[in-house]
Amino acid sequence: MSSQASSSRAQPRTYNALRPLNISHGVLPLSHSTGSTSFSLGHSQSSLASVQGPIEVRIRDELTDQATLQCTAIPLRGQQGVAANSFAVGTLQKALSSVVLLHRYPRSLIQVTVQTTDEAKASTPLGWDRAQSSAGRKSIRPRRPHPDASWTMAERATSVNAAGLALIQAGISCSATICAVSVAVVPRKVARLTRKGKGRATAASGAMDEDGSDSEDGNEAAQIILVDPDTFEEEQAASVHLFAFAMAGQVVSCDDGQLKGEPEARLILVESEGGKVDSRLVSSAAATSKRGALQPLIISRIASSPSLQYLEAIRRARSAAVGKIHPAIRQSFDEQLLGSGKQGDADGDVVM
Amino acid sequence: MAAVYSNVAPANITQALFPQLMASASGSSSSASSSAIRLDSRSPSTPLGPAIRYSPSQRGVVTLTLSSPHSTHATSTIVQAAIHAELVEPRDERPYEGQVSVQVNPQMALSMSSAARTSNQADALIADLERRCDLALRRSGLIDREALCLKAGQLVWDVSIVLHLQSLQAGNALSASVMAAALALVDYRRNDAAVEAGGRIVVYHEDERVMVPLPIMGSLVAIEVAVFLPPAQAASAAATAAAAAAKKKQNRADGMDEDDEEEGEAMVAHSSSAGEPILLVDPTPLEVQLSSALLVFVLTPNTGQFLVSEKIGRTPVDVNVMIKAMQLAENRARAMGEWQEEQKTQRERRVGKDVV
Repeated sequence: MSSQASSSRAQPRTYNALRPLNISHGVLPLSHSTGSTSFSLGHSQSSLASVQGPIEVRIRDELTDQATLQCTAIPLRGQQGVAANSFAVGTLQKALSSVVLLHRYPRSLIQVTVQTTDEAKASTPLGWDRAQSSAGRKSIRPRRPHPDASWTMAERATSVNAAGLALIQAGISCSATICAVSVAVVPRKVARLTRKGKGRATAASGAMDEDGSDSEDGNEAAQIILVDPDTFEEEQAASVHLFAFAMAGQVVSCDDGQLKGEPEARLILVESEGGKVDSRLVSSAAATSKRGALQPLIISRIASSPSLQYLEAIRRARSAAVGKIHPAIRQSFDEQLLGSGKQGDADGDVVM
Repeated sequence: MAAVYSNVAPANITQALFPQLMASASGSSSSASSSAIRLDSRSPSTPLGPAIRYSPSQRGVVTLTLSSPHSTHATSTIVQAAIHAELVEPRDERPYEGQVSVQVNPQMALSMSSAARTSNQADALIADLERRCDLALRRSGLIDREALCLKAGQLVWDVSIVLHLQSLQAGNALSASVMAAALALVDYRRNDAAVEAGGRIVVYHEDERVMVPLPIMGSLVAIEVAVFLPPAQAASAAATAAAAAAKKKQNRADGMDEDDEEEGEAMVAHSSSAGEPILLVDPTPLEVQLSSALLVFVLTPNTGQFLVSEKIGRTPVDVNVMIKAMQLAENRARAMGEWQEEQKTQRERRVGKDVV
């Protein structure tokens, strides 16, 4: 409905802003599932995850030294097809098995079921001419809700987040908290329509701005990295990515005699769909970056050497995960376990 | 006693678990149904309380929760219904009708350890649920399939209803599914489409033309009633059933309800025994398992037309009990119908303002 679009257009997000997070624990009755959590990004994307475990396992699935992790993903509409199953068995299982301490539950089964409970259809913003051909990826997959239609990255991100939270809610030992963020690389004209970027404000002054969009250039085909894209942005994107971070502990550094600690985020999962990305963006971003040097990234399991823009996308996703998702997760658990009066300490414990 | 049936509870177990029910049943007062208390603190005629949540981002997605009024979160049945309409080619043998398909996803509710669960039980439960939902939603005429036809023989609307069973702890899966689906169908809006002069078919985007509701006639309510026969009556009923079963075949009611009365005919002679049978509205799974018989009704609240009327359980039930249960169902359906109408008007008021 266009009225929905108008209410979201009233306050467009900045390029790096996530939609408002909403986390609810214990959605399903306790007698049924050991842990259940609902995770939403705004009103338009939410997932419900339910965890049973550790429970008895079939003999043929039994592993003698660790738990068997079984993941199921259910789309909101349509039947579970190739896309849902590949997400469950490939992405979700890979992400979860790298944080769950499976060796603590040998010969047992941990069952994770995730269902998408809300997904908004793409609503075209004002000023977008539908007839113009999009620079987005030409997908050979059918449109949703066909069982083979691929899941959007935002949907995958909320599902991974919900599953990770449900595992913690169920009391299953994990080595880290999972925070997944989706990122899209879109042409600038799309980003200008849907988001509020500083490029608009400083267009007159012609100066380069923080987001790296070069107003002087005036090149509409230049690309912008958006964090947490909605369905329309994903459709128009040149490439979409999913990054999942495992957050545990702190990285403490000494800066001018002061100790600074920030949560450590290991990149544990990367999924990308799309074509080549524009490398012109990179140099301007690096030059005008607020912090002096790029944050050190801990990257594992990336086979080929990534382009600089790719690293920039990871950096944006990581700061969203560290800055927004992780504190929200801690707060939700604090509220649940300690009562709503107490404020959680977002930095955790720092041991001298 | 005749052969032991798997779902007829021995009388002593029922007596042990529901002493108040059995005690008042053996008394002659008919206040049994109002004075007894169930395990979840309901009275026999107190139904589960429904709560509904519309999706904040799109139309046609509805989550319905049935929970006991006293302990709202401890056990609840949660069903989410999602509607989607698409243009497809019609079937060859029915070129003027649209299509409706119902799909039930039980994975979240029934995900139990594959070693522990008895797969026959779960599969049978889901198969029964699918069959009744199919009857109630598809074959009942709730959705006018001829009105779904866009161009005869070429394009019709295919409405798919997906029911996600998220939790079944409080039983009553059919009630929750039917109500969630009925409310979601009324809420859903599809793209407007038209056939132009030259025969070309145009499907309008939501920005071009306002989205159109589906052709829904009336509404639906499903109710389950568990019948507990007092011990003496149950025993004699079982004995008579063994004799009568040889010469009578089971009639499964599908549509109008008179067929079921035949099953009670064999019992007319034995109806005078100690106490009245107890009827529990919206039984929990434990109560269903222990009951003598389970009566399932699907009906339209306004006209009181019964679409599905089934008795599950081998114990023959007297026709008067059946009729009493149907009257209970009718009263309940009227109340649920009013509740549904109220939800619809509230939804109409809120749509476009703070939600979609």
